[in-house]
Amino acid sequence: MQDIERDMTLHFKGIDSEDGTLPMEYLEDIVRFGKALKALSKDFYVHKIGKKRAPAGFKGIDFNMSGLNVGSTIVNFKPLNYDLVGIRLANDTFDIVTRHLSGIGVNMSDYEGLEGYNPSEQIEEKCKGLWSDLDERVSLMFSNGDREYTFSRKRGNKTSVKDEEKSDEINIIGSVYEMDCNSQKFKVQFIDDNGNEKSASVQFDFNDEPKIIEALSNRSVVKVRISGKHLDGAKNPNSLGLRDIELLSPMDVAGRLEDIIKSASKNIKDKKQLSQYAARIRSLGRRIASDYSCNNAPYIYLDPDNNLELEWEGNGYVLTIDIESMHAVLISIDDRHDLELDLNETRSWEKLCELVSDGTGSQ
Amino acid sequence: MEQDPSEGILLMRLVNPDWDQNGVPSSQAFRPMNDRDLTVSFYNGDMITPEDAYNHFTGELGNKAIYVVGVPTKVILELGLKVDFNGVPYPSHVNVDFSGIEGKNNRIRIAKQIKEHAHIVYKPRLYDGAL
Repeated sequence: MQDIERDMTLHFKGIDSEDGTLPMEYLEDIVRFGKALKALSKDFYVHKIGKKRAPAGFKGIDFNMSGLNVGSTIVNFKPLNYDLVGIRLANDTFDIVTRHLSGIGVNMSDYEGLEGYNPSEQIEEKCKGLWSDLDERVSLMFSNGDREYTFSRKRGNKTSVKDEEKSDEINIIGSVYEMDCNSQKFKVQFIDDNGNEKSASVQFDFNDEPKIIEALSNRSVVKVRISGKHLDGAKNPNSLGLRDIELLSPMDVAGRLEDIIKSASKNIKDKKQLSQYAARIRSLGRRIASDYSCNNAPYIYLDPDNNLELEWEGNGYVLTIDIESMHAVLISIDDRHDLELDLNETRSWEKLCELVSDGTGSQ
Repeated sequence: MEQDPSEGILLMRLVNPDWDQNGVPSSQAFRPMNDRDLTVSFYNGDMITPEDAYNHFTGELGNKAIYVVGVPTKVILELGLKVDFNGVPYPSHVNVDFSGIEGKNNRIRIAKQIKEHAHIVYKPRLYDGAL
């Protein structure tokens, strides 16, 4: 089953929201943003079916506010039609619009039925002027799962997108490599979005200590997903205050892919190339962990060309993936016919999941 | 038909840390990594212990390994591969020859089957990982 609901958090940070309130005028933009998403989902659907207009009774997506916290509002995004078409439309709309707004680029060949379609003009038009009333001292953090980006107003009333790293909040997956219980700090190594190997010193709370120590005593390598905040005034700019820590299972796909990126970084010396490689691997990880709903987690290995090989326990399959093209080959030990898959296409993922789940009882 | 006495020999392969996830090796550990040389080196389990093989591979030869896996010669032969107990460049060296297997995907298919019969026979007490 695919994800059918997406929670997005719009978090306003800055002087206006310091007292934990949300200025009413900001709500108007949230309403406009919801309307833009609904209209865009309709445009995408019309393009997908190759007609001039949507059929009568068309149901696209729903967009509701589901919570209001200190300085933030939770909006919920879901399809109105809970069939495969409706779910895919909602997912595609969400991905295309958020990727476009985040400035990370959209590859339309990832979206079935939308290949060759350029939605930029439609998105720009429907999202024009959004957040333009935002106080210059206020930024809007827009987060969804592990993606997080910040809108802030630049001079000239233009809305801009800033990279997450410029925010004082940080979410990373990395390996713990040093711990000092006396000062309640540990160090974590990770590869950042620019392809740089970094380490951060993390200040943890006394309550988290038993959990961390237990993990350290049981495994040689401890992978963690942490969210934290840069510590103001710290001598080391990579000093983080821990907000949340999750110890990752050795089979956690996202954690494993961070290991893969780190290993590949030894071979890929060009920073830009490594950054693009890491982005592709992380995107693949999101696909495996969320959109690709099969719960039979694969073992994931790096090959000498920095491509991936996935192997499943108990079903005799090996999947080779070319990271540049997302072309994959599923090889079965019982069958001489290899299955070629284009992982840019949703139907390839569906076919893959169907096959690797067979006989494992894991679906 | 008389059984080949070499069938009972355990062939040992050293696993690079990049080929491991949580104690499970990639099938890459059991196949040639390029088309130029279609052989895979193993240690002869009748001539060297797993621990000595590890020490030889990581110490004398200066390679990295996270553990040693073993697979019976019989398994390799049944998969249609040739086994050559050539003793070169060191006495316990064994070559497993994939040259009769056409194409990378077929070699992956064979390697995956070898992996399914392999088991860890030696793992050093401490591996110098991230922590």
